[in-house]
Amino acid sequence: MLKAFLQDDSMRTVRSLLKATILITIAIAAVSSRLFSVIRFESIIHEFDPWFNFRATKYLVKNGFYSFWDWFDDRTWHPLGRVTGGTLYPGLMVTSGLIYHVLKFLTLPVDIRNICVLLAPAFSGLTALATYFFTKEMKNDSAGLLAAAFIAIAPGYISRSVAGSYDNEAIAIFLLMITFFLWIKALKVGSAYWGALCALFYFYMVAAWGGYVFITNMIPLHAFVLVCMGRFSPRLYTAYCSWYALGTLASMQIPFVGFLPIRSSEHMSALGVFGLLQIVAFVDYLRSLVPSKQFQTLLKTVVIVTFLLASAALVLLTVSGVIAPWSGRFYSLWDTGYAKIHIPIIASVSEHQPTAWPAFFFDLQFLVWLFPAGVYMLFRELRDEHVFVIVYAVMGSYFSGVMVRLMLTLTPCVCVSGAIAASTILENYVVLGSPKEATPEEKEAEEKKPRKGALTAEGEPKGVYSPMSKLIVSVTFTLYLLLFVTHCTWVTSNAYSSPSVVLASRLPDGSQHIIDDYREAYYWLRKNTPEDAKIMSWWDYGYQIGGMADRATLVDNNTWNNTHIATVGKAMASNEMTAYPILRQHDVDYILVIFGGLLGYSGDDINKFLWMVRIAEGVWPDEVKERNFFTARGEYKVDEGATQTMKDSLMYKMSYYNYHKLFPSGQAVDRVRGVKVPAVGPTLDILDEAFTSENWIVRIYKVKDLDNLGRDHASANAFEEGKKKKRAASKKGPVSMRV
Amino acid sequence: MARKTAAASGKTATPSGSARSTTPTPPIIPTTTNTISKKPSSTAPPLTGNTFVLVWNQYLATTPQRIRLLDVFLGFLIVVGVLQFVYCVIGGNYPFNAFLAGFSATVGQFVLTVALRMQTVNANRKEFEGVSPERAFADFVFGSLLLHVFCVNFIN
Amino acid sequence: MRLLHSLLTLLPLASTLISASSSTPADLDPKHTQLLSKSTNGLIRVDDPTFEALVTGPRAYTSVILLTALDKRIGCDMCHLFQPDFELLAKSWWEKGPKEERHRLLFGSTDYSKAKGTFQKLGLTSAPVLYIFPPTVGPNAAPANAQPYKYDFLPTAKQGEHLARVISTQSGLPVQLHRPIDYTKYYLTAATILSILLTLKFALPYLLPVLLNRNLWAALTLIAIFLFTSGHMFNHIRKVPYMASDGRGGVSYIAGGFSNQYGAETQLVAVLYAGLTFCVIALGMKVPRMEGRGRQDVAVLVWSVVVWLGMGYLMTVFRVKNPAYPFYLPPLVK
Repeated sequence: MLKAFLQDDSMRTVRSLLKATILITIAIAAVSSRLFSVIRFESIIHEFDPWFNFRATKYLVKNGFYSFWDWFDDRTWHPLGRVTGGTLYPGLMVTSGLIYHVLKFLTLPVDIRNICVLLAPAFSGLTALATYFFTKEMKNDSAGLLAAAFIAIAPGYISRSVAGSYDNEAIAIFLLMITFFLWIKALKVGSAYWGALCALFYFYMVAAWGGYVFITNMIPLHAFVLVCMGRFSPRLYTAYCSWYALGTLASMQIPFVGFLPIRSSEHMSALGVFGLLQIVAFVDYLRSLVPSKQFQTLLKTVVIVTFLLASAALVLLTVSGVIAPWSGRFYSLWDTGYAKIHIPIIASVSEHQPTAWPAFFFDLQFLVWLFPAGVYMLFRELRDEHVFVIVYAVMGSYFSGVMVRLMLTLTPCVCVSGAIAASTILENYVVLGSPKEATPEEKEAEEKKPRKGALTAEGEPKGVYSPMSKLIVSVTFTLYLLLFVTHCTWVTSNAYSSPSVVLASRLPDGSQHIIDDYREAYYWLRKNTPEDAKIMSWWDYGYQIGGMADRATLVDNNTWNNTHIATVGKAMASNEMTAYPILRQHDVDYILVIFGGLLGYSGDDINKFLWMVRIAEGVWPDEVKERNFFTARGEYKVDEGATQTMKDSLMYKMSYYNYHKLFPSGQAVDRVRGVKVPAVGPTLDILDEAFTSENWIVRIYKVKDLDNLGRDHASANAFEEGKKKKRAASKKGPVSMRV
Repeated sequence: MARKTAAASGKTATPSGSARSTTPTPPIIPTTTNTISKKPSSTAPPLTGNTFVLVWNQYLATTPQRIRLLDVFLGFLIVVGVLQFVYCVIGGNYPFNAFLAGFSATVGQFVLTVALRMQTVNANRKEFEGVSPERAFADFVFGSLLLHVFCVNFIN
Repeated sequence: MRLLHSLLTLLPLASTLISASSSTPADLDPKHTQLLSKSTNGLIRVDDPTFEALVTGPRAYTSVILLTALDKRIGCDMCHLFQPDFELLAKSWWEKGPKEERHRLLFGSTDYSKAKGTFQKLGLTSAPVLYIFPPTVGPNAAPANAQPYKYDFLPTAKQGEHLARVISTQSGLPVQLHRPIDYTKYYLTAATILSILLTLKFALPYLLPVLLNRNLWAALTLIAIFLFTSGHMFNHIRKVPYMASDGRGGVSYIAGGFSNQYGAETQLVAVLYAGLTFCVIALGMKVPRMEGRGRQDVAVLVWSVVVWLGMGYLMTVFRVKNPAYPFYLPPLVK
């Protein structure tokens, strides 16, 4: 009965129905496990970059596609502005804009914010589908379903796709998987149709995420490895060339990418393999015409020599500067020490740090050891498409080891090959029938054969005899699977569902307390400052100020201009007299700093301060010196022992201004650094405190105008102080002078 | 060339017979020049211009009419591509978009045509089990349409 | 630096030099020529008396002096890193600097072993230290009591270029670093490539079967994956210690904290992963191909138990890293 159900043709529709149901269930699971943050907090955009994407989407929906394309944004990077339309990947915004208009057309008016918040979970459902198709090409349906289930809940992918995480990665992983699937399909069938479809989705991917370079290099690498293995076939030629010719041309339509595909080193491998395939195909054809041995050797030499010459030419062009060398971001993946020395701004980002092993286990759990087994199983069969997963596994593991952020690209591969391993186990152990026992004669014959190592697996598998063995393995593996599900739920709910704009804390009685300082401050800015006020803050908060407060910023998370960022760093790191001209020159009206000392919020500006100093020092080595911020014993201190430069710096003053007044005299404590702060707080001459949020996380200062009498601010302040003191003194009688 | 021949003959003395015997079909042998036929002791076919004549004849003998038509088109595309490239080198690449669009159109069309050719040649039947010649042509049309849409958009 | 000025009166050598130099035109400072005669490639090897001579008394030149400690026993990495660049800079100025300006800048280098006195007098406890002493007579002369400029070492790769810029701004002289093109490197690369090619040509018949061996490639792939997923790149980039003292006299192999690790624990984790993977491969591929019921049962039991214990232990180790992690497998509860 069961066998009939599994194999009979007449039950095919029932089986497809079952498959469809399973896939839909998986998609629902994928979406719902990403909704923790919406349920716990509210439907809100998370973190930093998503705020920019959200703002751009609103612009797109409001002003239409063409004006979005030509958008020059003068409200960021003041006074430079940013050619936003030409310097972003528009795929994400266009996608949600399209969904918005389709829904509106269907008379389902949905707020654009809700579309943006729910876009990532929706696409994760599609990712599960794409992974199913991809894995199906590798093994079979059951492995595909398992892989879809894995990717739906794997924390490595959830970390970037919870509701509200409206970032490029939200749709990019779906595009990655569907492009890879189409590539495998094109390679297997050898059809230009699949190749062209692959190119189309590649185009979509290029429009959506800078990580498209991963595809641009993975597919050529796969093709190259196949050629090296002597597996060139007309199918490979058809698939690769139709993808490359169409895909490259298509990718150049995106203004931000422009001519890069023929100009920069990252794309040269694809071009090189394209050329190589032309030569190999031509030689292959000639060989089929003249099957003489010597001629063939000659042709082989021709291929190798041409290839070497072409590579040399590429190197020469790169050295001479016609082809742009590897950009810093990609270069730092190979030369891991490079970014730290040459591009501090890249090294400073937390998601560009290398990955420690707990992160792998945290994000992949038991897949982390299941997946090499899957890779090994693919090695046993080693069809053309298996080579792809193997290459992907090695490259993906390397990249994710170098950068935490690239765990995202490894996760799909881990799910696919983990599913292959798991389904092999399940196929062998979760079956009802037992194989026939071997007769004594056969056994004898078997004994005579030379013994092999534990891993040599030759011949057809016979199956497992004892029901007990089957039970043991199926029960333990079911347990592992269940454990994986609970692990994923726990990780998602505890680690990946915080919007970071709104913080949650537990009160002593266990109830949840929401800390909403960021939004409080941003709304204060929106309501209380003039429309054209310029806000200076460290670049981390640029997008949020633009998105939530709708005010112009000096720098933001699109760190395209290092000098401008260094200018802000310099202003923060210098004393008031040096900083004031900088502030005036850049028309700064307000300065916003993040201070976690009261609450113990460790991601604040004082902890990021050294990066500001470092970045500023990179541009003005003579004026800003990191060493001056360390005490003689090389410590970074904020208490009494802080260096004079530190105490004079604008950042220090703004963070601790009036802070000591919250506490009884001499008791002021910084809860992040865990130290007592000086009993006498810093004074500010050029700034006025404008706003401080409930928990002191956000502090906003107004930059004073030039003094009416032309004095500098310090002397003006001293004069005022003196007056006040005199007045106070005259009221209260003689008081000992404290200053 | 002569040196090469000598070297070749010196190196491989024994397999000469087999190389001779596998030299393809009788109609081709007369086309080889006298120098070779006069030297019965000469070994494997020398790698001179004769080989290319040999290739050409083999080509003429094995390629059906339709495929030849495709090959003419391929030749035309190569000529156009080379002309474009030469113009770019000599005349400058000022509207780089336009040059790139034109050149990509040529290259793209070339590879798509080669793909079509590969899919329809009988020798490759085994490789392309899922692609019938009709399907191959449909693929070709689809690919070309897509290519030219992108080119037109890119050319400005 | 006040110390130096007081020394000036103590040292007879210095005082004679003062009288000598004050009587000659600044351009032909005899002290300068005298010092330079001791130099190699434009770099003066300074000992205690030379140091005094260099930096005391009226002088028409800027002196750049590096105080370093190259002795292996002292173990100053920065000194060794910086020394080649400094020598190169001195040489560049000596050979390529503009002729008419050349006498206005002196490079000196002294080692702790040669000039202990100087280190003591200056009260230096760390090395390397680099001072730029301004001239006291002639154009660009600094006021008599001017302090020398103390150079800050940057943690960058191109120290020499940076120092050259700093000296230029300090002295107003066009100092540039000329890095010689390292031809030996090119020759070496070419030779290596050639030898590899030659070896390949001869060894290919023997190597080919090895290279075409599927198991070899599978093993390499798996090893690479285990290395990368167990945080090897983190060790490589952060240069973490293999193990560390736990502060109570013992050693701890496992670092506290989620985003921190020691070399030893990554090896442990890699071995665990490899073992678990091996079991899965055995269960999935080997066991179903086994003959005989009894042997198969034993194999299944053994591998299943190993997987269970391995996974349990892995989770226990993970709970050390992340104490809030709530899951474990029964026999191994901590």
